[in-house]
Amino acid sequence: MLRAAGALLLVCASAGCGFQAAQRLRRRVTVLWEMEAALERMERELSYADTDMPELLGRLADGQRGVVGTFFGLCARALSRQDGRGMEQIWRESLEQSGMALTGEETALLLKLGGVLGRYDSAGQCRVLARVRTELAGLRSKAQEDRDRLSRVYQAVGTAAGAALAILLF
Amino acid sequence: MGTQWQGRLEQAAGLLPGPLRQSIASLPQSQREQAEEIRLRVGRPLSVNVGGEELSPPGGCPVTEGDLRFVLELASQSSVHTVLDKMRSGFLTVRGGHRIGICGTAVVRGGEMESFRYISSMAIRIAREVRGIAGPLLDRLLDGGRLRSTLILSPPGQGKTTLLRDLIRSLSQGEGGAALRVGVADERGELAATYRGMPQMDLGPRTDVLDGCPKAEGLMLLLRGMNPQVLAVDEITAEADLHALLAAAGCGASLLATAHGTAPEQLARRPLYRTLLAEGLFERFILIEGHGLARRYLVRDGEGRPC
Repeated sequence: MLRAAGALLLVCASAGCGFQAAQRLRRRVTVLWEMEAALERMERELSYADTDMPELLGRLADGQRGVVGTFFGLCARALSRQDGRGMEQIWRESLEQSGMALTGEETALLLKLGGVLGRYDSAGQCRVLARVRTELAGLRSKAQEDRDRLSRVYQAVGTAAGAALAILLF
Repeated sequence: MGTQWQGRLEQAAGLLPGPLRQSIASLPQSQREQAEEIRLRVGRPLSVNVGGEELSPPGGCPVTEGDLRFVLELASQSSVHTVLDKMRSGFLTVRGGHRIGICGTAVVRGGEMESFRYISSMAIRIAREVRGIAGPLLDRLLDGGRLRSTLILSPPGQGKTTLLRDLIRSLSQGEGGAALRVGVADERGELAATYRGMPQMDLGPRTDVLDGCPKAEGLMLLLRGMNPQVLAVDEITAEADLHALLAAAGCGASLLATAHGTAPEQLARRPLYRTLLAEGLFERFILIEGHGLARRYLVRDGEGRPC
């Protein structure tokens, strides 16, 4: 009885790891989708209303759920505090704190944006935003492929590895 | 008379990068309280203007162009795109009413200045609220509960805006007579230092502020919409401002304005103001004489005679 329970526990733990890895792939795609939508709204706000950054980031925080909303909320609050940190630093620190499940390449692309926002005229910022969105869309397509290709693999490998280990041990 | 500028230098210094802020903190308390301006020039240490004299805190490192860009970023709350038009006019007003003058290499397109390629120097003028300085002048400016239209004259940096601000507050509070409704066309946001709709300087309880709008247009909007007894405007510089003042005077509102100059006679030599003086728009002139931190206010009538 005890052996069966141990084997079951092992299979469940291993399968859980596989499911978690698959979940990370799905979350990454969602985050990239939401970030693309947020950047599109940012571009619209800048080109039509010349909205200032604290207000713009606040609106994005209100309009987005999950980690993307958290990220913009962190930026908006830090900018409103006026504690002597510049946009680039606030953007970078907020990216680190918000816990987005992004790859190094995706993070580097967003970091690049932090060095541009609020520093140039609206048209210049919109041009960079459009370019970043295009690149982000490419990365999102790749993330979708990874998700479709690997999420079932991770789940199956996790479960199978757990079962194999249980057979070997018990 | 009370001064409310303690801590204002610290507020203005909050726009500077850390090492420059620390350099200001090393100044003696007495100098910090009397500071009028912070001067930043690329390649030179920061200096603080105290009583007309520029003092450099000891051990200050040279200011870099990056430092000035950082100041601009903080001053615009990381929204340079919202202050570009103000930069084109040479200065911008920030939270707290402090005014940042900018110099550098201009980018010109189509014959018009667009922005700065490089910023070489900045002057952060610390906004002051000095209550009570207008009090001794009021009996010469008021005439049976009505303000005689008044023009404040002085060279730059002598306290025109500070006096105008206290005059607005005094009239609005009813000091020296009945309280008057004052409409303020505050194009650069220096008089009321409005931040998200809330004035940070006390302009009195019966004052309506229209900020961010060109002066000439603002005067007309106030006249049409707010029925002011007094119309106040800082720094008449354009022909459109003059036309708006002439129109406002014709509608019965008293005028309260400032201009760069030392005396009405000197003003008359400038074509822009000649019409204004010829029309006899102003019944009183206040001339500011300053030495160090001390100020003397001389009141003259419309003919230029002391009164």
